Amino acid sequence: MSFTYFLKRAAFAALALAALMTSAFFLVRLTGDPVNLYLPVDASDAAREAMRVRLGLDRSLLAQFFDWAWDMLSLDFGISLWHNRPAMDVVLEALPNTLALGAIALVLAFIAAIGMGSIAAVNSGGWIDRGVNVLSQAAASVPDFWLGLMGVLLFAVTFRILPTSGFGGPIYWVLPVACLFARPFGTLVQIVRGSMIEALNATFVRTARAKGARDGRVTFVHALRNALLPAVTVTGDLAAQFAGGGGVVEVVFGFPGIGKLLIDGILKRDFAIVQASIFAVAVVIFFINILVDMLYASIDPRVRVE
Amino acid sequence: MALLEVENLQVSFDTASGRILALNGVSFSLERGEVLALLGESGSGKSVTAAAIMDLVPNPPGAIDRGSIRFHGAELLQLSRNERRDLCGNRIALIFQDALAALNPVYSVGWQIAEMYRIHGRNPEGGVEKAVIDLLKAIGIPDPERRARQYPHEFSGGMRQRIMIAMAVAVGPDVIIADEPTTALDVTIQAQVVDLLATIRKRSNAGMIFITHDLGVVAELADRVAVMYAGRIVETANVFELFEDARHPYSVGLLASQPRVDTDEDELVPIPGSAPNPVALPSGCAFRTRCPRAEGLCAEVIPPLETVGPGRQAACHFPVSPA
Ligand SMILES: Nc1ncnc2c1ncn2[C@@H]1O[C@H](COP(=O)(O)OP(=O)(O)O)[C@@H](O)[C@H]1O
Ligand code: SF4
Ligand SMILES: [Mg+2]
Repeated sequence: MSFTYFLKRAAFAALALAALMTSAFFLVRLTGDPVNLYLPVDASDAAREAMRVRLGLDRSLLAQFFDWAWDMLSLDFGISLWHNRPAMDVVLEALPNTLALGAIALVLAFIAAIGMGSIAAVNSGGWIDRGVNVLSQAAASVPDFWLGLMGVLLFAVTFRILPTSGFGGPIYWVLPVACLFARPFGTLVQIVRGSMIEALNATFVRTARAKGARDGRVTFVHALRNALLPAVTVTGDLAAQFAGGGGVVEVVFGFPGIGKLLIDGILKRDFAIVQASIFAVAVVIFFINILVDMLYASIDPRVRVE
Repeated sequence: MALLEVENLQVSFDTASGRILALNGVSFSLERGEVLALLGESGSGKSVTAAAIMDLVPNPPGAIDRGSIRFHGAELLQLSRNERRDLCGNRIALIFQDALAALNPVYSVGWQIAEMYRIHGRNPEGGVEKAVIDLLKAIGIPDPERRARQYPHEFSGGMRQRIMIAMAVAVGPDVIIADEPTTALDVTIQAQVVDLLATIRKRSNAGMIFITHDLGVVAELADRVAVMYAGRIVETANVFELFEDARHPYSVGLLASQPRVDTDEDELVPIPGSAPNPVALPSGCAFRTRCPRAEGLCAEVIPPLETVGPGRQAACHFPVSPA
């Protein structure tokens, strides 16, 4: 990937980001007025008005927008109403947790799916294949809130070997990772199996056998690398989804990630937090896409054209 | 002892439309230094013969039902899966028809040739890298150091096929099987590839099985010809005898249906009818539905491959008389 290509992509991404942030600006303001939420029900009209003025909500929407646009351009995301400190600081504390959670779940899912999908493909039609099929279908379709609740019930409430929720040492990561792992694992197994069956039937695999390569080499050196691209594509899409937070999983386990922060931000009309979160996630997704492209090119030389 | 002896080989495939007898008692032998052409229409079983020798018959749907394949007198069909793999590439090599599909698209050609040495634990003098470069140079690839790092899609069709051939002969196999190596190429490039195979054949003492449906290439390269029809060898003869004096009515038909350089005859007579349905072969001689000499016996008894002259055989109840 050349530098000019990177610049071109960055320019496109910046345009898309501007559009995204603009729509976010208007959408968060549609969710309602924070003043009603933060002041007691019996607060005086004067107190309400004073808060509106302090937050700049008394001016016309257009005036607010231009102010906001200027702040965005200078990367100033404002102060969080709820946390009462710079919104981006709060976001940058939550983001690494989400990224680590997503990355651990996805890397584990990817590796496990490569192994299982390949074994299923090599034995396609046999009982191992059928077993893997049932397991992966189930993993791909089970809702993560259900998995989360069951996990809590079983391991935290019944066996008491894992914490129900919270944050701290590695033990707090087990259930969230397990819940986030399931769907990517199930989806990827099916994809790897399909593309491995195709690769194993390709002529170049016959060539490898004709050259004298044994089964392990044929499967994992010759076929696998050809079967990897679809799995990388899907993993990239999932990574982009996970960058926005483990959603339900973060809420169920009280995991302090960007997903939980974003949901809380919306509920609390914390405009600055919502906007800073969206911005940070969009930037992360941009880099995930670049990474996927680089992976692509390193796996398949035919993609290395511009 | 022949280098490679195939005897009464039967291979079938279970398909949705029924069981296909792809090989129905194939027998032939190959000597050191000899080029045997396996000649026949598409679907006659040439590629399956190669696959059976290389242990590449997909199972399922395919299976080797009976027969024998002996290499230096040792029965291959009794070896384990891994013992067969160790022979492949090392002692018996296969060159595929479509080099673009046959080379792995995600590894450099240098890597793929080097793999041949690595799989079989060979340490050529000067190292594997040097051996690969020398090989590319020998098959006429310019700038081999740079080209070795490139990928199959960066080469022309002719170069890819030469790379395929170089890879197959890298570690000096005793038997080289080339399955229609020139079919996918245009005529001028075909000639280069045939020349390369002729050179390899001259330099090594390997036996070569050259699979083709093209009489022109047979005339150029082969010493002996085995003509296949519907999963059987119907005639074997040395290349001159076949062209001058074919005995099997199918061989005669084949010669009359393709242009030849050695006669002025330019009227081509196609064989009437079409190749039989492999799921439901005619009883007796499979060629009888298209054969001008067929009689009652042909529908009842499968003609065995019998000696019809010194070093030549034909499978026909009523062979064409010697010229
Ligand atoms: N994998 C397979 N599955 C089913 N039938 C096959 C398979 N491979 C070959 N055959 C059948 O075996 C017969 C011989 O095929 P082949 O050896 O490829 O012919 P050719 O002489 O053109 O190389 C054909 O009837 C073909 O349909
Ligand atoms: S056996 Fe009969 S049908 Fe078959 S080739 Fe000979 S003459 Fe023709
Ligand atoms: Mg063929």
